[in-house]
Amino acid sequence: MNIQELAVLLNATIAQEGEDMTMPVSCGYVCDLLSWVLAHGQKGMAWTTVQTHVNVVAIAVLMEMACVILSEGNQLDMASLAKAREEKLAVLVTAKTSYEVCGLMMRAGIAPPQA
Amino acid sequence: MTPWNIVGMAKVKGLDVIALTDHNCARNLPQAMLAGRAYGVQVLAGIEITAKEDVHLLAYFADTEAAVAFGEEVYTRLPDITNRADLFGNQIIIGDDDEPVGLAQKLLLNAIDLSADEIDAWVCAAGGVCVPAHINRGANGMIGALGLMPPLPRFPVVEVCQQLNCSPDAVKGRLILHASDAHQLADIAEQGFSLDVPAPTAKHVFDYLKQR
Repeated sequence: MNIQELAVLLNATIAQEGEDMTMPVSCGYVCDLLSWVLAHGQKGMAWTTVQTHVNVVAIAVLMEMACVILSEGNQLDMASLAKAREEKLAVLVTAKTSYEVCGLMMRAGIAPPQA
Repeated sequence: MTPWNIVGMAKVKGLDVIALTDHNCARNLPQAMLAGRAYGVQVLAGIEITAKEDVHLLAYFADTEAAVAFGEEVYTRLPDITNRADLFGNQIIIGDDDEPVGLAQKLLLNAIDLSADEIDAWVCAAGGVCVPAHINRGANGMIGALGLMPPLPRFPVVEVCQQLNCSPDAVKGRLILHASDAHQLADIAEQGFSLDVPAPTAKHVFDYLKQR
């Protein structure tokens, strides 16, 4: 599944387009502790969080993630959005909870991160 | 712990200046100031605020009134969730003669509705100094919650928990404070941390932090 298709699956709005919205998602993840994500993030990952700090963008870019999914309608603040635009990081916003996002991703066959 | 026995313990431990920074509440500061004058211990007025990222931030103020007023605004921003003393303990406000005069009703453990950056700007605008607390301590430290420290010039002063490892990169170029983070009387540290200030007063410590 690619980022564009994931946005449709999650009924998400695209707060920021990624460089390539047809990039395939390699795995799914959920975590709000950013140090934990720094330690466990992977390339191509679709990461769900309620955190909106600019470091969310920094970490997703650093880990070469496919996209960030902000759950429960959380929006990036101006600084974070500007950073996402600059880095061309795909940011999806959905009204669904992180729990629902994970359930939908699992059902759609998106794998957990590889150990 | 009461303001009076905290300051009394600080006197016993030989501390020159202490800071009282209750979680999301500044209503015990006036008594701590009185106790400070009575015991001859300098007390820096402060509060520990929980940002919406779960990061703990210390805010220090030059005068008690400003700190108390700021504390009331912080309290207003807490979610309307009532404390359950059986789970989280009593949130006692102490008045004259070290006697309880009331309780903080809202659960002080909660986060307010502002981000760490917004709180930093707010504290600064109110004339205070904002210092991330125990940046190297788990989920409530800035490194844990945010993965890495915001680059300088943000947060030029940080508090580091001495008992835990801290990445040198996180504190490079910043003034490091060590505190006992005492939540019980016995945890109040003895002398062992000093700042290069002209005189051991709360005002000098505040100015020293402010000029960073």
